[in-house]
Amino acid sequence: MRRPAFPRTVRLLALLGSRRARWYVVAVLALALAAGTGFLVRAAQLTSGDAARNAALTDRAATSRASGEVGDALSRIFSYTPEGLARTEQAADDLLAGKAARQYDTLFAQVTKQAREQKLTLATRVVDVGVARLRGDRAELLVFLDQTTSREGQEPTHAAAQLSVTAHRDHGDWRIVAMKAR
Amino acid sequence: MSTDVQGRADTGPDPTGENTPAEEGVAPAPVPVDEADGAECGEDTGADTGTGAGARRPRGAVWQVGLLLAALLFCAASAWLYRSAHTDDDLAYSRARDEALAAGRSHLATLNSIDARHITAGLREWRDATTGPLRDQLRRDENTSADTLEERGTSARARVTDAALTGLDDTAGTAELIATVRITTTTRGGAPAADRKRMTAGLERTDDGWKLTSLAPVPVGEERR
Repeated sequence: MRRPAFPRTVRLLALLGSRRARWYVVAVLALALAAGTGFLVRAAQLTSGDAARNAALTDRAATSRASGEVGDALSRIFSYTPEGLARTEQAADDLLAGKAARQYDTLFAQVTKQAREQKLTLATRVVDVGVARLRGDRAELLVFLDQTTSREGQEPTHAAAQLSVTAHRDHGDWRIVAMKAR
Repeated sequence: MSTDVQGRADTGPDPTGENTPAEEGVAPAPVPVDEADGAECGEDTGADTGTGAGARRPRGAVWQVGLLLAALLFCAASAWLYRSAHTDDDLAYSRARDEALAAGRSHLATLNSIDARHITAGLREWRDATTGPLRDQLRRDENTSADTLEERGTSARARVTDAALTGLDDTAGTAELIATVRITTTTRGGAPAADRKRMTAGLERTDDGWKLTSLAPVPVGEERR
């Protein structure tokens, strides 16, 4: 007992048994636990934070698909000819949902009348699309549009339009659920 | 259980044991120190009482070493997790994107704002928000801009209503951004007027964060692609 086989080891271990040493042990323990927890929390923030879950630009294919489909949808629902109003309305039925669909229906009722009476043609072209957020089946985009209105026998007029768009993916296809003019 | 009672009884006159930790390894352990040790993992020492004081002490120390190792291992593992998250390319790209967008929004608002009473300070802020060609241009035009702004006496306050990156090259440290801005201008003695603009801007990463390298309105009826 007094002269163990590994005196050095035992002496070291015994040293740890002393009271002062135990305070060191407790301190190191606390420090290690605190630091470890800190690292873990930071790692979790990094891997599951807002930035990490937003796939805009990081997932290039998904980003370009969303911006392509939304841009295409906007140019279709905001383009019409006096004869082709039904086609535009049909496109809106397919491409819009939720609040955006209701807003559009109200707007389109007025537009139909005007377009028929004044022989109006509207052509909308996408100038630029940026995807701000893309998470799962939800995307937020900013779209710059150019709109050309033509009246029969008159010079066409050009106007700029900017929309903040929220889109939802439904069975693989993006549908616009909210629009806000900027 | 008996050790526990002993331990408690011994804590009173303990200073002798506390002050002689170095001796413990060699000399037969004074009971008080040993019992103080056992107080933490009482069960363990309790089971060992039969084998004698010498064997009991290392056993408690083994426990401590084990705990220490476990804690250090935990710390190392989570440090490694943090490091791998920090160096992850995709995550770094997402961070760059969010940083560029946030900086772009703020700089865009700065460059579209001016306080007619503090033109010099405003122009300095403009310069601080930019780098490269745009900064050079602002510096060249600084005197004429100051004169014009002074003469006009118009203040402008801009708010970025929406913005999105259209491109980001993380390795090159460049980004392109589109944004809509709402600018409220106030003329000398006049009523404020609001204006909406759409803009495109280029960004570059500098030691001092992302800065604007270009800024232009997006006009109507112009092919940009």
